[in-house]
Amino acid sequence: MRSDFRRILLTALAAAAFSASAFAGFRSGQQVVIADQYSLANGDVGFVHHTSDDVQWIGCLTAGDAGYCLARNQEGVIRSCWSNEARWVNTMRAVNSDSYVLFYWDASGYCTYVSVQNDSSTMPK
Amino acid sequence: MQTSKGMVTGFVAGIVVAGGAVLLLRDDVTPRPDESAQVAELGAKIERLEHSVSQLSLQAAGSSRGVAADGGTSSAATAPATDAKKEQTRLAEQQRVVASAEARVEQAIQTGQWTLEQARDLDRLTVDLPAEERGRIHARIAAAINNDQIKPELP
Repeated sequence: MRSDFRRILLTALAAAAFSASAFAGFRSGQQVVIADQYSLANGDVGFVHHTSDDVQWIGCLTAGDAGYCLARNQEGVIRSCWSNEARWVNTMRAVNSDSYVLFYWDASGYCTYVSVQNDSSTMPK
Repeated sequence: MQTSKGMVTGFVAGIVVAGGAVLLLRDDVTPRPDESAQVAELGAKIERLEHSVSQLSLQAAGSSRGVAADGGTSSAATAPATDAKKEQTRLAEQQRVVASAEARVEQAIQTGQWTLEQARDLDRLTVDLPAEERGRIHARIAAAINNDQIKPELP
């Protein structure tokens, strides 16, 4: 319960920060962030793609009715999760080059939450 | 004299009437020749039908005994045996796939490498496994990545 509340709070804060930067007129891109203490990773696909470093990466790979989400931050740390739950796999499929991706994992490696944001507040073309 | 003559006449007339009645009744009971022929024909038909019905009953009884005998020893007995054998083969194949997939995960953990080709191979290998088993194997890879045991190749 406490964990769920924390997850919702963090997601809301991340979304708020993301939206605030967009409203402030800043580029809304976000680098890959990995927070092991919360078992989460997030980042802006488009922004990460355009960064000068060749290390960061975030996205989801689907095959059939299952898929992985993966994220690598600037330090080269990689985190991932796997799911064959339709709700998460459908969300993974929605990722495109302009997406903001957020995912959580559990100790077994399963995705416990996957979120994709596709709107005009993400990386401009 | 006159009285006895009348009695005799009456007696004779009574006998005549009774005889006529008997004759009339006999005529009613006894079928006419054409009716007799029809009755005989119908009787023969009924007899043939009864014979046919009894023959059919015998045949039906014989064939049901045959079905029961066949079904009891071959079809009904072999169908479950075939199903059991198929199920056994399927489970053996499933166990072989699981063992192969587990070996690939172990190898990845040993080498610390996980290429896209390996990921695709594992996906192809496990695609027909039950969802729970498939999930357990793939989640092991994800957990190994999160524990820094595997460095996956990213696209």
